[in-house]
Amino acid sequence: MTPIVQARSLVKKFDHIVAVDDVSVEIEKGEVIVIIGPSGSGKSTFLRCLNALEKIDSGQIIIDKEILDTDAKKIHDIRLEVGMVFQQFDLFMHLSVLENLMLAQRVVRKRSRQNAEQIAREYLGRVGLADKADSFPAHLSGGQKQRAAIARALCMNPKIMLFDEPTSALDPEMIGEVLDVMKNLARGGMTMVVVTHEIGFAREVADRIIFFEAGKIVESGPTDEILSSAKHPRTMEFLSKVLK
Amino acid sequence: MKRRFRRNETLRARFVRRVNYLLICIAFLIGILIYAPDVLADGLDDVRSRGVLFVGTDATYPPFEYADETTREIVGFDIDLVRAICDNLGLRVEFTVVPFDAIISGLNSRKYDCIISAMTITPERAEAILFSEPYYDAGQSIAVSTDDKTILSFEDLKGKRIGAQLGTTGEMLARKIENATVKSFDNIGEAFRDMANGNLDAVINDKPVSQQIIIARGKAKLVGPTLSSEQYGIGMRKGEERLKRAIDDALTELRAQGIYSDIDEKWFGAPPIPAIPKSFPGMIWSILRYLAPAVPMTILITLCSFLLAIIFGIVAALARIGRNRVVGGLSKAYSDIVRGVPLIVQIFFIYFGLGSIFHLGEFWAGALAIGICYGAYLAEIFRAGIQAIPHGQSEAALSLGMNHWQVDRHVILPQALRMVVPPVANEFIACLKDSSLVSIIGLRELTRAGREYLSWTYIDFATWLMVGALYLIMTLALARLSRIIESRYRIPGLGTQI
Repeated sequence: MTPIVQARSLVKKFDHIVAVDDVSVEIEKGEVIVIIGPSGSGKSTFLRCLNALEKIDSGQIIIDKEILDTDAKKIHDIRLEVGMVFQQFDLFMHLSVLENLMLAQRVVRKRSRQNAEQIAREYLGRVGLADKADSFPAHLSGGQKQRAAIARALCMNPKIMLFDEPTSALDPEMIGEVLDVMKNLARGGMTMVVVTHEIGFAREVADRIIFFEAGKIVESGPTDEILSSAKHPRTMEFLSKVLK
Repeated sequence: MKRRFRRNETLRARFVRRVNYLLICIAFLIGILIYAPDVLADGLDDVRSRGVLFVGTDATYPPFEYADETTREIVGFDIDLVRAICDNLGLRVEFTVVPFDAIISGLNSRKYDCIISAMTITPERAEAILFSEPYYDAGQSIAVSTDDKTILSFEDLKGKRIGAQLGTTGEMLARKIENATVKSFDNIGEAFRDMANGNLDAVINDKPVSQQIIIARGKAKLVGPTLSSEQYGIGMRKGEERLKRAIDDALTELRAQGIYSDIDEKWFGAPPIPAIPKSFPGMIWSILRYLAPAVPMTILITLCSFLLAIIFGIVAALARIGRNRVVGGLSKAYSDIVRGVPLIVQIFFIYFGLGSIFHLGEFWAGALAIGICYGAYLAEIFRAGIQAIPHGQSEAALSLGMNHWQVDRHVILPQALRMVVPPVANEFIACLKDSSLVSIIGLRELTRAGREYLSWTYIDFATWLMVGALYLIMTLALARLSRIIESRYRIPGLGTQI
């Protein structure tokens, strides 16, 4: 079976700084990957390359057998397959939670209002926000916002979900509710790539861990192997700090 | 006896007699040629025998002669005057309407007996026809304050402060006066008010118009003879000396009897409307009644201008933010140029400057000028509004599969537009006030209506007070409306809380 995500020799530069330096990763369908590493190591940039929010300078990305190039139509098609959740939630401020979930379904998927609302309410129920449908983002807690953002991405029926530090902007007591939603999603068989510092989450649901530093993959392997017996000294040093 | 004498005359004597006869004949012929009109056909006798004076006129020059809109009858100052002359002479009058350029040849081909058509007596015309004594002096006159005793004639104007109407012969005359300070006004009524306020020593303007103003409001008087000679005369065929004498005598009598000044008052006196009530509330009511119909035009031009401004503003803001550098540069140039030039200059430029290329009426020229001007300001506001929307909003929308247009349409603009409601409402109120500038190109909106009312009534204080009050009512209503819209469409968590 061909991997659902294939990234080959990706290079991404910002002016003269190389943010992603010759990175190759393959992800199988249903796999949950956790990317860890220090700040500024290029892990978020790598994630953003996967749905073309960043334009790569060289290399190749193949998602579900489609090559991601600069063609706008192709980018658009691939983004439909790839959902993304951001550190700052980025719910649309002027729309209610329900409308946030319905907007892209209506204008991109061209679903009817009724159909879109039905789907939106279903996902709101799954993330435990059925009663917040008519609230505005400003009136939600951070954890509720992030759960709504996850539901918003899921409404588009993506094959892959990307999470860019989804709990970093949350108060500690709200991290759990978001991770629970993500765990359920993982158990449901969703292909997920998660950039996070939550090693507990990784231990529980990740199939593989990738350790990034200075734009390169320093080490990657099955979760247990990396967590218990990392080979590279930088990985060991990083893990010893976050597990403390 | 004579015959015998003749028979006996010498050949030489016979020759002399024949030459003499020939000379007498030639002299007689010359006499006929010289005195022919008087001798052969006297116009006055002709007119008296038929009892009707035929008069040619070009009835397209109010208030001297024109066809009344409803009755289609020919009326005017000249018409009343010639009727009065005919009354005096015991004649009836019949008019023939002729284009002005054919009016002299019509007279000479005897289609009518005389011409009255606001015709200025010029040396060229006096070669072709005979003129009566001038019956109307349409020259420039000097008006001074009623209590002024220093200015008696043109010579006394040196070094004085003189008012005139922009672009008139009066202004040209004023500029020739040594050391005089000339102040030009759009409307001559304003010059008279400025003089009443003590800012001018004299006003030079068309005599009939000045007369009208003085009759209506007092506080000024005409001094000295008229400055330029533009005198109107009644035209007759050359040689009709007796008819001329009769008409001149009649004119003298009309003047003496006061009939002339009655006619003058009727056509050049104060216009009958509006009748101004004496009481203050009555006056205010009369002003408001006059101004009210102009309010919808102020609202309409403000709405049209601002709609154009919003369109220009959004396009320019998107162009400025967009990736295309050329388009962005053009948009920046638009903002910089338009914001650096006074709106009134832009209005003149579009109405008069571009008016020769594209014909825009004063409404659309005004709306376009204001729209372009406010578009440049709105572009900056929209740009700031759009850039205030966090970048994550568009990234989130893009990651959901929206294209750039959908992101702008559904995510960025709805938020940006709501955030800019307060500053845009301020611009709208400013736009309403600036719509008054369009009055200078003649659009009949509130300010223009105020000036019109003033030009007839000369009530300055109360008129401008009411114009101001009407603007204030509209701007206060708009401010209130803007607060309602603001609170209604406020995005929770964004912008200021109310």
